[in-house]
Amino acid sequence: MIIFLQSILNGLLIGGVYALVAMGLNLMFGVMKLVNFAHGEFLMAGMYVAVGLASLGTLPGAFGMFGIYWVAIPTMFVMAAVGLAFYLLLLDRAARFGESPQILLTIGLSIGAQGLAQVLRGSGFKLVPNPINGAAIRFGGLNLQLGPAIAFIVALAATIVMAWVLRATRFGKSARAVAESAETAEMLGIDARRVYIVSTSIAIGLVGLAAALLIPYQYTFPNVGQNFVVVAFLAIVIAGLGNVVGAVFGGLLMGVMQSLTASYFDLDLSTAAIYLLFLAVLLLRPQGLFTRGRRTL
Amino acid sequence: MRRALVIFAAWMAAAAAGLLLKNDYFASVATAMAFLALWAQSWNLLCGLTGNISLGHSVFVAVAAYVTVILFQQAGVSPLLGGLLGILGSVVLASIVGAATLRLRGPYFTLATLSAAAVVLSLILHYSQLTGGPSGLAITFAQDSPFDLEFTNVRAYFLIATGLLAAVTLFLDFLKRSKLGFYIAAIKSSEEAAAAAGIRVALVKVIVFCLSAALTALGGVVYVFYIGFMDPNFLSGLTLSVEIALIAVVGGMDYLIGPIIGAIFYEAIDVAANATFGASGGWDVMLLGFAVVVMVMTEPRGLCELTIRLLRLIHRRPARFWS
Repeated sequence: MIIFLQSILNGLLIGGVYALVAMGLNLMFGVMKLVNFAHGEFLMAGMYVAVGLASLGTLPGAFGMFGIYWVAIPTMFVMAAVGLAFYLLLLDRAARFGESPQILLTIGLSIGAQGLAQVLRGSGFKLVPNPINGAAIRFGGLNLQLGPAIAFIVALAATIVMAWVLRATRFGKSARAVAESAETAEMLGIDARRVYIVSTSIAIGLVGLAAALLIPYQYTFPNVGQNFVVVAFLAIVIAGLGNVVGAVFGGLLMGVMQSLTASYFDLDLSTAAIYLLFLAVLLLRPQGLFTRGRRTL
Repeated sequence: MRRALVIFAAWMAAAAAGLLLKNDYFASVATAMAFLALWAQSWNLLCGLTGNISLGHSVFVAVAAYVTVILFQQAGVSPLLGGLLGILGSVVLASIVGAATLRLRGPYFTLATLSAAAVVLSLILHYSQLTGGPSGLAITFAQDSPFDLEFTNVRAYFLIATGLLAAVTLFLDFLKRSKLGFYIAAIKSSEEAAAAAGIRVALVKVIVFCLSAALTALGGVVYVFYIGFMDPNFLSGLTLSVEIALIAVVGGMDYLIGPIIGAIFYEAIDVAANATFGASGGWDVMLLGFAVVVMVMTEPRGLCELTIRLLRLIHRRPARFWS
């Protein structure tokens, strides 16, 4: 029983980062109908940025062992700016290209960025020494890993903020309208391009946040993005393509499935288990587990 | 018939050039180029005809290679028979993934193929008693044994790979003008219209995907005996899948010769990067990836189209000048 509870807990904590990555992917898919195959490389880039910032120094005493987390906000804004550049330089024109060229564009960018990281930073594994790495709290026989726990709490907070933004703000309402139909939204006076720009910045900014939350306990290397993004891809299809808040539940579900297979079978089999669920969802419920009717975003 | 002769002559020329290469490094580059071109051509059988982008073709290389070598080493099954079983395994996998995704609109197929590579890799790592786990399997042999695909002279593999490439190219050319080819062309121009005309759209797509998987797997069977070592992270890695796809894209998906041009381009980058920066890695995939980005943004039809436009430009300018 304690193993079961511990696995669920670990899974939820891992799932927090998947949720952040998946949420950005689904936001971009929802408004632009584009799967960003380079999403994992933005995570990788964010991790290198965060590692670079963290190696400058950590905050002084008052923050105790949490001094390294100052990098979260700057990394998020740096990556949001990268997302803005990504949209203006590439996606702005590619928006007219149709699905296949967009896939090829982002996959080319993805492997190009992996190569660039290897050329610039080498293929070595980087970790800034910090007290969060390996730290854990024990309560009631359960072991709470501190790094993943902080990542989970921040991811949850970010989800609540995103859900509020989509529901209540002017941008959110425009985004939902564009997701429903870009043409109709434009006829109603909504600037779809502005929605695309802001969505891409938010999506890449969220990945930057995820990157900063990962670096205290996760090694940074050129292919690191693949480990997260493949799971996030499966998560968004299982949850429902374009469903931003659903993607969060998808991410958490992936984490729990991974952790349970790791405890009872073997970690290597977890991707296979998730993949079986993915195929089952495609066959039986292609709109996704958490999408009802025609609801978008 | 004329095309067949052209392709056969091209193979003969490539084979002669390969056999004349005295330098072992360039011979290995040429062989790698031949295998990449073979895989890219097989990949393009799917994408060039139906427009479905697979980012998991390395899976078929890995499945065929592992089935063949495990049967060969553990049960003494000849690679010629084991290879057929390996290809069959790849086709079964392709039909499952294809049946689940090719009837849906949207990026499901690409996502499903991309993650299939990760799944197969994790299965190879898990069943390590059979597959050797992360350290892979080695194939060692001391003498020639053609029926076991064992040749001590690596140029034999170059001959086989280019021969397979010629055969796949010929097959693709034949397929385009067959009944199935016309079905595919109809589907590509409008799925609704094709379905209304009585074509079973999803079935045709799955068949084409299986054909593409089988040809890729065929290359995989020969490849492992050439390389003599199976590294799961390479064989079932995302990098190989993406390389296969992007090579075809860079060359030009609308042309029979496109994937071959792409493979030459990629190996040329690789050789140049190795000569300039040393074999530290990263340069080849970086240049390939960014080349594709530039290509999609400027000339999505690839190097072939670019060359044709360039030739036209050179050809036309004097005429315009004098008229």
